[in-house]
Amino acid sequence: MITFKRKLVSSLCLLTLSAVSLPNAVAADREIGGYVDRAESRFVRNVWNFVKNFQTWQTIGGNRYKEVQYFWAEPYMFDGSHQNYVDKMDVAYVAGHGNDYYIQTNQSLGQGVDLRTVPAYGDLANKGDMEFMIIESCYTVASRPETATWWKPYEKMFQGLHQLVGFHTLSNSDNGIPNNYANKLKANGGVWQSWFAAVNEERYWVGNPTNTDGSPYPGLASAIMYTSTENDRLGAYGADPAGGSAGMKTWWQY
Amino acid sequence: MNMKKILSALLLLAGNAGLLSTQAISATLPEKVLLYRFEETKPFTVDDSVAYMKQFMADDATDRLVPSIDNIVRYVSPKDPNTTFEHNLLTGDLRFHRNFARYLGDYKPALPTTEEAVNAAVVFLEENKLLPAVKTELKIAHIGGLRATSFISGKRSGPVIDKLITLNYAREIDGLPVIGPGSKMVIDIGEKAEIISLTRHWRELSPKSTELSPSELFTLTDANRLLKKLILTEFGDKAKFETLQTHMAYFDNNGPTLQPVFAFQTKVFLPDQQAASFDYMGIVPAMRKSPEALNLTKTNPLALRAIQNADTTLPGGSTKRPD
Repeated sequence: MITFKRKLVSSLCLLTLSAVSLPNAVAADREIGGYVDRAESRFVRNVWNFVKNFQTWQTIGGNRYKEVQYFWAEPYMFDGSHQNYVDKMDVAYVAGHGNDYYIQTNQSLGQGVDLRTVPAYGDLANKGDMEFMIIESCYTVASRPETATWWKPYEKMFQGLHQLVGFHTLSNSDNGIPNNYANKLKANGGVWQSWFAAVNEERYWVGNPTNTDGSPYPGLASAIMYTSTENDRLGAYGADPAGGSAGMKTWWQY
Repeated sequence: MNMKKILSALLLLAGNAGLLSTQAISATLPEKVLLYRFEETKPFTVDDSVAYMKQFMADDATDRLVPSIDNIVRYVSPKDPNTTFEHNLLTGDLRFHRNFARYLGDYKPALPTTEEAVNAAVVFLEENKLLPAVKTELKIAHIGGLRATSFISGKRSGPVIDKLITLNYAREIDGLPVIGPGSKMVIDIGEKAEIISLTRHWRELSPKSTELSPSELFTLTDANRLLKKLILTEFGDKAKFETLQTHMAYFDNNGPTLQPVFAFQTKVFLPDQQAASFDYMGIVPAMRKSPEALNLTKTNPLALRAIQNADTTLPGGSTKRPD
């Protein structure tokens, strides 16, 4: 009887412990989405080589991350239904053809998304969730070298979003960047810092410059963020910024 | 219509995956092409990583260094995400980033001149025994850097601040560039020429190289055929391309050999008129019997199997609360 009572007490204690610890664990769960331009197979490889590192829950600092969406991209995932797709994620990784502020979603249909006209992303305005958006494409994350009023195109999009990371030049993809970047993030590296490092570590020289826009292989990285979010990492990041252009900041390679 | 326009029009009309330029044919091949092997070294250990950390990251703890499944030891300071260290136990690749936190914000570092930066990098490599055995293989390929600016409340951007100078070093063997994930160094130089970061991917070559006979190598015509096949496979049979430059290079794929390749700088034109043309680096082996498969465009079948179509799959994810 004493043994039975002990076991009962022990079980109840375990149950209580579980009940106490469960909410904390769930509160720290974060989600990753991957979105592929329906074009060349290299865009599949680019996104896969990032999300493959998050097929099971990965503990990073105080949070856990897992890939829960891996889709052929559609414009509505970024526009009308963003709360169910990219903006339902904490981290969205996108690969495709790009242009200034533009990311293609379907080559044969000529479809894509203009970041200047997407709904506000993040926790503040539209009940979104996204903190970090990574776009591996040519030119999409245009920055100060492209326009003196570099913040204006991003004012509407940033409403809780912490960082947008990508390239401000041509981008040569199909290389080690996505996998290297994922592993740096898993080690709790800074979000934009890890991207810039992964791009630098892929550089090589054949022809000088390699690309017709004057950029070296594999392109030059850029990022848009806030002064309050420039030290964010997946394991620990600051409170949501107020949104809009106040305190906005850009980093770029040249 | 002059002959150039007629030729151009004919080329545009000509078939699928058309070669728009014949510039590639004019590329000259080097007199001598070799197959190199890297020196075999025993794998590094975590003790080696600890020694490197003590050498370069004096103030950071070394008691929690554990290699990941990819045999890379990664460290990020719990106090500062800008302080990082990585050491590949198989290849010896070494990367660190330090002392950068104070460069954030509006801080405007007093950067050295380019000449001072280059001198500082050489001194650093020499003092830390990081220079290559054959120093002439190390070539500075590009001097760039890192810049930032902030939006000042009101209506204007703040000043553009030069935060770092980035020195990119490449490897050159027999006058040919070495490309791929290995054989490079990147050094960031900060205020008063302090070394902020190093990326060193460098393995020494074995003296036992093999000179390749012409019969062991693809001709340029063969290589162009392989390039065309590559572009057909990657971009569809209606894609067209223009070869802007053709190079012979060596490829360091972190494997046991350094093999010759053809590297084509191309511009690809897709049939969709809305899609802009884009640059594409097409790399094909130069050896008929390549000692290592390049595997540069190999797709994991799981990557295609796992990808979902939103027409048939509801979106996943559950954490709708703000976080």
